[in-house]
Amino acid sequence: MKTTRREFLATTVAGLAISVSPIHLLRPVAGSNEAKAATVAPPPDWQAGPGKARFRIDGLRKVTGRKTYARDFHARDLEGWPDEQDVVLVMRTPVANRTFHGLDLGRLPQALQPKSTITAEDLARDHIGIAEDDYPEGDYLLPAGKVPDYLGQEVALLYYDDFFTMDKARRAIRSDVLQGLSFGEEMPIRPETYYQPETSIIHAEPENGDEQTFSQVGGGPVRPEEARTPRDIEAMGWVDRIREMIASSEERGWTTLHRTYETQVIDPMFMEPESGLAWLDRETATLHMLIGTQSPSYDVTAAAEIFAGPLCRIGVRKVNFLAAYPGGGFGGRDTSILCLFLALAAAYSDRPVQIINDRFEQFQAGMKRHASRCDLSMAVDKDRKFRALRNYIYLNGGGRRNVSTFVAQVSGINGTGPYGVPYVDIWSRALKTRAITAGSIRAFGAVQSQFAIETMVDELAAEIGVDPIALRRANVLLEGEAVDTGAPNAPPGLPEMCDRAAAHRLWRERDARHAAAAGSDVAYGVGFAITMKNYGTGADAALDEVAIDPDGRITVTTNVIDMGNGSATTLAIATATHLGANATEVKTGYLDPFEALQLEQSFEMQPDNPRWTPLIHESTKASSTSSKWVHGVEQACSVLLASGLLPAARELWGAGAEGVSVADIRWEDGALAADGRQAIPLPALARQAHEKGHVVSAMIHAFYSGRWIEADYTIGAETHRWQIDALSVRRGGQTGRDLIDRKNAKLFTVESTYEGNGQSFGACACLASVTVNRRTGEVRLDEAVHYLGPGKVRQQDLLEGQLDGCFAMGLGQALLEDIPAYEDGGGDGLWNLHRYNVPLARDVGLGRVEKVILPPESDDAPARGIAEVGMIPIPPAIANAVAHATGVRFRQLPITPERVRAAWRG
Amino acid sequence: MDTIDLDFTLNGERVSRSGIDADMMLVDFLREDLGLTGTKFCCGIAVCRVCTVSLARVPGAHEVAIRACTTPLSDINGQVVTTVEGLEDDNGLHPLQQAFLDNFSFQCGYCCPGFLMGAYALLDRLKRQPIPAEAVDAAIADAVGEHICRCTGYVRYYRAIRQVVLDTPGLVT
Repeated sequence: MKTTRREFLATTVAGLAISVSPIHLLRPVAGSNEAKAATVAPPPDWQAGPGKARFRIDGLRKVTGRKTYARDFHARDLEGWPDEQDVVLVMRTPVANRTFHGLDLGRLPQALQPKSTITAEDLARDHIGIAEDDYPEGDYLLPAGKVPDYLGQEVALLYYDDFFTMDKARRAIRSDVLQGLSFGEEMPIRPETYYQPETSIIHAEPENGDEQTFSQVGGGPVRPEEARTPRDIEAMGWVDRIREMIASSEERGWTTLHRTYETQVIDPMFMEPESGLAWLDRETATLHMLIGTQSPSYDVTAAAEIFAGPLCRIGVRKVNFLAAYPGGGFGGRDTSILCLFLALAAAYSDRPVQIINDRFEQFQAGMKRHASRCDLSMAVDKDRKFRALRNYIYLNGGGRRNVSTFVAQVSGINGTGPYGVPYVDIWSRALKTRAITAGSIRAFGAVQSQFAIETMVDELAAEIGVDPIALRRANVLLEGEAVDTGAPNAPPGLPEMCDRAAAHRLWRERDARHAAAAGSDVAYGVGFAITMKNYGTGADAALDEVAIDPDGRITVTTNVIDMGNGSATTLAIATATHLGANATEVKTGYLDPFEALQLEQSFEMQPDNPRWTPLIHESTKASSTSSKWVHGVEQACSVLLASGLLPAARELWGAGAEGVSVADIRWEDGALAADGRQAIPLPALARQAHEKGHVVSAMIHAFYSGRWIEADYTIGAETHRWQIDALSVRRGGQTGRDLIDRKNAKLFTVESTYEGNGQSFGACACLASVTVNRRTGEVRLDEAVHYLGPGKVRQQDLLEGQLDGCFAMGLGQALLEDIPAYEDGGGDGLWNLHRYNVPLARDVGLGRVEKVILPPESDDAPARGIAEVGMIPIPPAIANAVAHATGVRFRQLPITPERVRAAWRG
Repeated sequence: MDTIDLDFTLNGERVSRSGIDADMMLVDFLREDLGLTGTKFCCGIAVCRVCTVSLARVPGAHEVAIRACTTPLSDINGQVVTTVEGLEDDNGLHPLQQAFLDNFSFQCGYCCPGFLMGAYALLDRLKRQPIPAEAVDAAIADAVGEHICRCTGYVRYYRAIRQVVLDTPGLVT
């Protein structure tokens, strides 16, 4: 399969120029209170020595309340923007089963009437284009006469002069049953369909053999149901054989269970409701936008595309995007549709516009986690070995495809959990429904499929009468063994986590404590779950530049966004490995400077084109910084060291130092040292490099899919091999950059993201004990142990913070968070935190959750992405604990008191 | 629309406005009118506590944590409001701010001002009425237990607040 446009974000769209940078043009302000609203540089004391942070590099601005998030900015704050702005209310439909007739704002008081309104008719008249090939209907505003495609679909843009009037109008409209809209009679609900492509992962590995008979690795992805290729047909043969195996389990001496597991819709509930600014400067035909986003490249491209049609009457020649720090993301700001409505709103105003969601709107419009159903069959033999698995996964993608097909792929990749299973048939599909659009929410796809697997494993253990951890221990993958795609990418740590959990006090005492609670008000139970997940996409690209000024100050520039996960801090300390010092500044969210690399992308390899790369850039994923972008920064630092600082050092060391190589040098207290030579402080080296024209800036592109593309690069008289596929340098005394062509490149390409076999995996497990109130059915976390195998740890505090957040979010998914997918759900515009329960401090077992972070398995262990896998074992561990406590198996999340009571009633 | 003449103290400075909407919520006035965006908006219905600011009846009176998203301006007239922008002084960061930094308490940081102001009111209470060390955890839970943080699972906020309470002379008996 070729990927959609989402992975191919060019720097131009049909002739429109595109620019992405962070907010750098803040208007200076005066006045005592307002003065503090200006942007601040990171304080010098954020560092705790090379490679370590004392606190977050972005911490000071956040802890002092400086303007940070998109919501904090008004047009008047931005240099070059007009002072006055419109505030635009986006009207959305609370129903999706009636024909839309039009706006009905008659009940809105005169003072709250909008000064102007934009509807679908305006967009049609002006030939507004379709930005997304995944929403071919293109009804960005619902036309009269149509039944809405989905709940919460946008209907109209209402313009106001100020926030206060808009906000009052918003509240008044919300109080109306049909929220200011007119509808006809009820219509039949549209039948659900599947977004294409569907994902099939077929794996066959005969008994006692180490040869894979059929796997994704062995020939690429298959679509058995399409039967287009011989491999598809062969795959369908395996589907049939695996079905036959499962059907004949009894004859084979296998124990097989067939179960259905369901997970709910989750709202990412990042704390800052989405908002943003846009301004179409008609003099220059430039659309300026400011959004807190995980995917600035998507946002800017999508905004450009809607005006790119030849007939479009809105004159836009350039889109200039400013990226703000997001107030939380969790995937909910990755390819969000907000950018389109900001662009549209700006197109119909002479002033800058602001869209500023409140929480009700965020629940109505924001992307959700896919609700899921897994129809799972799993067979275990008499030797406690898993033999066959069939997992048919259904994910509710809602009304627009967005990234649902990728979510289905990830669900499939992780569809066997962390186990080796010889025969696997996974069919993972995303449904097109009238639900709110679902997106790539933290640990997407894997949360759903591994809740099913890890609950099933406990059921199988009970069925055959073995200890649940022992059953897992007998089947978990060893490092480097084949995952369900056949790729030999299993992470380390799985057996060790089982062993540690089995030996833990909570597990050893589980039955005794369960029995001891028999006469009390609460039932007690302990559960375990172990999971793994890919991090990155299997086709990851990093853009990084590292520069040093004549005073030795290091600046990192990158396209990555810091969602709060600590990317900026991590990249700042990453320079210490090769440069002996942290960066003093990290510029996140930049794209423009990297045009200097002149990259050209396609998934078809162009071996003779030194500018070719499979993928130029991608959106920010929490699990990628520590592995992918850090690699890029370290490679750029390596270039800077070898081609800038070391040549400078040789000159300063003088005669006899010509032969000193990278292998001979080391950093000691911020100075470059070599045996028998006086250590030279970094500023002195930087000054020399600038004066003598050595490399003072290295800009790189790196591509990863199972391994990095690597190549030789010659700078001056020296040739080095680096794990990058593009390099540009700037020398001291120069303003321009030089492209360094790669040679002897070890190139490769992939067919697409997620379907390749280059995923890296991380492992995580959870041992949890719960109490269940015998009267109310309320489940409370008692204690827990959270196991993680992160490999190399860059900054312990950031890692632990991510892990704590994962635990809380996992607990919310297990016990608290729920929102109906359809008519009574967020799409009706009436949901907020009075109905949607996210975990509070009292829910998460503060002080009673032990972290077990496995040491790196080797000196060169990678830093693994952990911000997703960290939450996956929590829901099944808790569900298994509830089953132990209550004697009832819960196969549907969340496990609410009502469901517990209903189960007890039988 | 009922209007009032607004006159209150904000971060040590007098703020006056004539004929302002009495029902305007404090958080909106701070953010949209004054441009003081340190106080955040999240749920708007007083559940999440992100918008917490501290209110005192007169200078030096008890500090009380309130939700700015559901406090109309009519309710703060004549009173003393402290927001996150008012925590720093000539000596630099407030100890709570420094502790939040040092403990990596926040990630995205959006809930940070609310936690700061909830804890700020707690410190004021403990100054007036110290508690035994063993009661500190419960007091923290009482002060910020309803605050929502989506990133960090609360662990490092509680650690930081506890550290400041225990390290500040006179708060613990």
